[in-house]
Amino acid sequence: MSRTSPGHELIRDYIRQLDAALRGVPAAEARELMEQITAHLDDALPADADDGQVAAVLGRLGSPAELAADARRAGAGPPGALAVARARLRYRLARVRRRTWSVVGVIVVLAGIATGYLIYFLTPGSLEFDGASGWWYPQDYNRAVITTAGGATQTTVPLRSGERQGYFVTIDNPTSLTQTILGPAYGPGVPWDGPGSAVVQIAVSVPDRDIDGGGTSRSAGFTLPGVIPPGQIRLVRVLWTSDICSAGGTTSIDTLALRVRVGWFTRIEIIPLGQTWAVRGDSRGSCT
Amino acid sequence: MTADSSLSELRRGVLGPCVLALLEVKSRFGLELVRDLAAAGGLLTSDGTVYPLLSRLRDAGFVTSEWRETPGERARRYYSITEAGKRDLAAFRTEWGQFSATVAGVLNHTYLPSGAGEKGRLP
Repeated sequence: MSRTSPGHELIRDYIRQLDAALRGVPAAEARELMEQITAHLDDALPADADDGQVAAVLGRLGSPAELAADARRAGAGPPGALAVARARLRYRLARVRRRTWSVVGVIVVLAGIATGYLIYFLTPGSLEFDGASGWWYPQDYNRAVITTAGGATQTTVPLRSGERQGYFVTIDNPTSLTQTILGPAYGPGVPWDGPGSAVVQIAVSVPDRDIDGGGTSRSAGFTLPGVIPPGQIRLVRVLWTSDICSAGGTTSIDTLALRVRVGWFTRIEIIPLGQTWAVRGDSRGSCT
Repeated sequence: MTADSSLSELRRGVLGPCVLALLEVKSRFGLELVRDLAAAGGLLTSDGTVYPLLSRLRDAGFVTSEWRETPGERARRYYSITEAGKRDLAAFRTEWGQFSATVAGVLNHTYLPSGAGEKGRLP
């Protein structure tokens, strides 16, 4: 129930001056002070207050400039819990010994190095198919049929039930880190089973001049784990026993899923092979 | 520094604890506080001083405010002391007792540093 305040000329002048004097005071504090002063005047003056009464109340209130100065001092926030807390924090920080700061600094630096190490080894880039490939056994590559459709190539051989079959591919390590192939990768989301049994054998060629030069010499030795130093090429051999259940259909794969170690970390790499490897025909394997 | 400005600074310094002491008795709205402080005599340089101080005490967590409506009257913002405010006030009371006794002792020459001993030392 607002009464005297807003209507009286002296009060309107005072409020105008106070509003001007409060420039520079944070808006919320200025608004609150205006509200407090208006309420004060409402409470202090009767509805029919004359000029003398209004002037007396305004006089006791203090000049707008003084009020604004008080508001600024309050905004600067001298005592108060917050200021006390700040002072305590400053005091405590000042008491922290140089040795403690050194330890904190070392911890921060070590954490930074560890993070950098993680990023460096977990994102080195992938191994890549280098372009050369073929069926591993002569009885397969002699009977391979290569078909192309829609830009995709598939090489298909007859399924030799219960026998070893497989292929080789050249794999390049284009990164600046040594990568070590640990074996095939299995698991959810890994598009690997091989056109054969679920268990495949992976092997990586040892350093060989012919392979390094882009050849596909099968006389090179093979090993696992197989190390591929930065910028080098290795032959990777993929073999399986074709004892799958197959009744004249085709089983194929177009990616190579490998477990690869870089530094201390092991990850799964799925390498596109550029073509599809397929076996077709009946098998004598049991179909359960 | 004149006596006037010294007293003005002193008033400003003790006004906060005095407001807390009044609110410790009961919650009050702005003009009520101003009138009670004015009635105590000599505490206020101007009535308006109380309002920025109330905001500051609230920001410090020593005071809370809430709107209350009484039938037939306009809504008023009432201020109440918090537990933190009570603790601060209790600490100030202790400090003030010692401080005011020391100031009184020095001003009235009833306290002198040891060795100067004309009138002895306050207990």
